[in-house]
Amino acid sequence: MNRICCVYLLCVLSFCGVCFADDAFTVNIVAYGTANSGTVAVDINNSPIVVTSSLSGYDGLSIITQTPAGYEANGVPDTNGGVWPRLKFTSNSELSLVYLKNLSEAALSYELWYGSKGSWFDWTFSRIEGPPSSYSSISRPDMDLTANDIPHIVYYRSGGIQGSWVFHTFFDVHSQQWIKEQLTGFGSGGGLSNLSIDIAPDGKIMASASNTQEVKVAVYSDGSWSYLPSLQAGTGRISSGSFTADSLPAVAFERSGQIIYAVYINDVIGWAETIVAPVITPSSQYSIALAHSSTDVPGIVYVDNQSLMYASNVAGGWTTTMIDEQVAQDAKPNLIFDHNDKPLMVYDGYDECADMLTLNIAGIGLEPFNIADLNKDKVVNLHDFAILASYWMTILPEPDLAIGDFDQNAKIDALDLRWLSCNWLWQGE
Amino acid sequence: MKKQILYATLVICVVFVNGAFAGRTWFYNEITDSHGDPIGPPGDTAIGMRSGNAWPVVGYAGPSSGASCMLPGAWASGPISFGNGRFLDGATAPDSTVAFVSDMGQVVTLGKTGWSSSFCSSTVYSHYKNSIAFNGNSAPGVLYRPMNNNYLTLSMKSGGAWYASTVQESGGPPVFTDAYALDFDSYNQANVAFRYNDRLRYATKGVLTGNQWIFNSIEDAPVIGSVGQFDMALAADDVPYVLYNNGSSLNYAVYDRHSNSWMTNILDVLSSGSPPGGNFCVTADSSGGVGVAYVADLAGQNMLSYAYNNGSGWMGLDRLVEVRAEYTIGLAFDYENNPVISFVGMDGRMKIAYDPVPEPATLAVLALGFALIRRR
Repeated sequence: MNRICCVYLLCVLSFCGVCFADDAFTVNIVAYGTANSGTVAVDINNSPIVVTSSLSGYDGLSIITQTPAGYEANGVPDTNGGVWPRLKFTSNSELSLVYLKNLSEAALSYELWYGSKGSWFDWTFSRIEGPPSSYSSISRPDMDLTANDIPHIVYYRSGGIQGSWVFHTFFDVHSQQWIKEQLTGFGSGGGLSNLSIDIAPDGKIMASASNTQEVKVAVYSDGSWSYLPSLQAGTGRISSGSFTADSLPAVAFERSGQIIYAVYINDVIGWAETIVAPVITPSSQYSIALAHSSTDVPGIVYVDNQSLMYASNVAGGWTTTMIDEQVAQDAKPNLIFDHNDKPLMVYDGYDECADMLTLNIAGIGLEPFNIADLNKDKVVNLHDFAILASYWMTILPEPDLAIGDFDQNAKIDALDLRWLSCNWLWQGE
Repeated sequence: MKKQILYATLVICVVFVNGAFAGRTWFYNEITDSHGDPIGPPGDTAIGMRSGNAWPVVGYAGPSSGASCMLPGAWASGPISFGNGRFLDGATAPDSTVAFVSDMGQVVTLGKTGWSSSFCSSTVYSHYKNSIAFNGNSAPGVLYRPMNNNYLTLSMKSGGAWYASTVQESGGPPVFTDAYALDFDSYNQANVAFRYNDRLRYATKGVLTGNQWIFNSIEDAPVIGSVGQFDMALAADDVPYVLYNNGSSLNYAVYDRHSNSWMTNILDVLSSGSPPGGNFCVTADSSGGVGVAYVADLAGQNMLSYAYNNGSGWMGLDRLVEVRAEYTIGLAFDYENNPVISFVGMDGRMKIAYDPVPEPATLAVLALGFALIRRR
């Protein structure tokens, strides 16, 4: 009898263990010293591909992939001055990238560029729009692809004190041109923030943005844009939009100390709102992201009191999970669901030990990685210390992370030892 | 007010019928490299649609050869050459894979994993236009004639290898032909049209024929056309449209399922400068209609032309631009069933013609009507 109980208990524990293991987020630091947002997409093998900007040593965009040795960053050629990337994979497994190119660091004047790369051709770029004299810059682009791999982009044209205007552009294969149009229903004004675009499988397009008073949503369907009734917003100006699996426009935003999720049912019922969670201090206008899984589970990433939170609604109620206790003030999360319908996000984090901003990736089922795990055995312990100690006070010809030069000053010293101690006894399994 | 209502009614009527008779608005885009320079000297072209059935891929053969695909803002050339191959034929698979076949039997494919190249057979008799098509499982087949016996042969690719079988009725003789075309029907059966003993012939092989070739004569009249000028497509309900050259005219044969008989007719006057591969191309769209792109002889001008048949009849005729008639052209449809034609212009540059909606006649009537109302 005791044996049966024991087996039963083991089965229950094993089952629960699997459940918890499946639902647990893994957080990895993919890069240090970045603060200009990252974007993530998954390739045909469900492996995350991250593009970000301002990595040390390359003044442009970098594409980051996970290898057995850790995260490997490679520069995207000809993207000097590139910031604010947004990445998608086409149905042909080709990379589709939109980003801003800073023409003059002093003037912060940006052009809008598009790049693509396939398995058989190298990066190919086209300039979508630059800042003519009538307006000062372009900002905050977001992109999605139609089922037929046509890129659609929303962005701001900023005119300084005159305000900002929301534009939509797409590549027209007939004329081989980028077709641009102003989304006039968004009006003008400098307060709009955090633009987002989403394309439903039926071809509908939604664009959303918010200012200090309201969240605005535009929907493209049957050849024209229409503007949904605005939603009252909070002062945080944080919002993000995404279609549900039924092609209903949905937004997540902050109002009166609460994260709100709203779905536009139809013109008769209008918006249906639910409260997701209270927030103490939403940190910035860029600190929220909304996406839906293919089974219509909404996922929301937001910042609350410097912590990154994830909320989902599976069975009619919202559950929240803390992803990261301390993140950058402008976390700028980018959220997707991978091919297994698991949430995957990149955001700007903060490593207290290194006292550096970081680019982090968080997801369920990610291969755990810690920069201090020098022998790659998924634990930071004496074996890793031994590697570092064997090079103690050695001057290196060039920085080498593999032997413990974490701060990359080409010397194994006390700073690196401090870095190791901060991660002491980290376990990836 | 009455005039406005009358005008609105008129517009509605014109818009309603316009799809049948109006001309189209064609965009012309030159195929250039990333620097904006034209890609090589002129040559034969073929076309397919990749990546969501939205992005044109153009194969080209001649003094320089290869294939190039459209990306947002630029064309990207593939790494594979057709060598000395010519007379390309192109096809698009259900999964948006694009493939071209040359007269030498080289098949160049662009799919999710990039470009690849293989030969459907090591013994293809060159200088004849081979025909390529995909079945419903996105497996390519090539119709050709081997060098050793010249018997019409179908080669299908499966698991990375090509498997050839002779087009031959059970107990009948093999087919000796120089003009042939291939397509697959909704049952994944191979349908081939070919010239045999100066007659148009048609054969099917698949699940409905017990996996045997069944032959069916299309027309008793002798075919005068030049060598290799043949193409076919299957429209809605697997109705075959066979285009062929008959002397100076472009003819078509269509199987009428009501009368269970073949009907043949003349479509237009064909340019006399046609290459052995033929400068016409017939392709079916996803709605079940068929489009025909060809080079017509229009009072001595080699005019790129386009005709569309929605299954109940030909829906008007477009005259596009004067082109170089000595090269093969290609026709494909995008996901919105807009036709795209690859050709070589009079300036020797390789181009595509792309037709989006709306049609100009509709716009003209609308503009005229609004102008009249405003004048009142």
